[in-house]
Amino acid sequence: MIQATYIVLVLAWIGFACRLVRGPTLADRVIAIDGLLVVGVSGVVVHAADVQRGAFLQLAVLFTLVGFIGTAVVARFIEGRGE
Amino acid sequence: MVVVLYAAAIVVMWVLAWGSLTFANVLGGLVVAAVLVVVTPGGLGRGRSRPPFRPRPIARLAVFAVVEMARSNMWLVRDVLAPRSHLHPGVMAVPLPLCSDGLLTLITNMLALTPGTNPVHVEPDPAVLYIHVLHMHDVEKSRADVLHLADLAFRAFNPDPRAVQRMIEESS
Amino acid sequence: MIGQTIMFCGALLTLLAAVGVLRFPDALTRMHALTKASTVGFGLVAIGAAFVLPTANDITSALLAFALQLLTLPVAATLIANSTYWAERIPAELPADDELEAATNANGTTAADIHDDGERDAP
Repeated sequence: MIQATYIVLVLAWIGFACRLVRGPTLADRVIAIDGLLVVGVSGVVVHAADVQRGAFLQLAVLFTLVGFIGTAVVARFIEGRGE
Repeated sequence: MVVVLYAAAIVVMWVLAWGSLTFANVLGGLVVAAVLVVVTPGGLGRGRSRPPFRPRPIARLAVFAVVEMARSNMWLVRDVLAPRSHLHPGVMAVPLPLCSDGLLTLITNMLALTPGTNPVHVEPDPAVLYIHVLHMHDVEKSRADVLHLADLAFRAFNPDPRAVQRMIEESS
Repeated sequence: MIGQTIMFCGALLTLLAAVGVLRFPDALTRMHALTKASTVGFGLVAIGAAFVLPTANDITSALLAFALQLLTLPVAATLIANSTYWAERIPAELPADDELEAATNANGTTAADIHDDGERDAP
């Protein structure tokens, strides 16, 4: 079951990466990056549950916070640039 | 009171982040909380009336939030798998009675998680929410859903709990 | 077993978010798919992991990550929606009336005025 979870997360990652490459506007790309971050954080948690070692879980908290700050900064940038 | 709750929440999150409940962690949390309380712009309820604390309406709001989050995913399954012409996106305006900034922020954040709605712009004074909806041909239903959520939030946290209900009755 | 099933459901919801972001017609609608499905999807992954993880320390770390996601994803969504709306004037693609545009036009302000207001308020 955990293997299937990994496969589903990889498919989701590929989906977001397609939007990152294709997305015509900057807003689409920042949405895709936010999605990639959520998939990454989910992957960290699933891996910690898989190998039964919780050493990486602080990474999940860190990615969430840094991802939010990055998204907020790019949103300001979109507003200033008019794109 | 607000300051104490805010500081307690920060200490709890600090201890959770460090993982173990030791004296050093709690002390560190208190220091961080003190710094944040001093630095927060605009003050934290100092000089303003204290927000009321009503446990039953708050519980009802929390249950409603969880149920709406589950429903939003069921709607999303239908919206994603259906053909594109199924969607009619648009922006609608929902005026709300006078409320504090904190309550407006809470309502706006909850709207991002409820089915079919996503806030775009918020005017603080007079309080108007501009919300992007996926089914613009059904605007009045979406507006009623938003007002229902605002009603529950007002009953839980606003000094004047029936303000939204009065507004709904006046307009109908 | 329960934990693994819940984590699998959470991963499926994240896949739903990815499919939504690929299929929806424009940036503002794609935001819908992202916030709603990703938040609940990651929540299910965290709750499922809480059944499987060994120590209480790990469980609280995973739940803390979920609480932070719950607090930050809606705010990020609103910020991006706000910027995208004022930057690209989505109304050209919307078939129906746009009440925000009507309100700003009625006031006599234009997008450029609101734009400057935002920058004046910036710290």
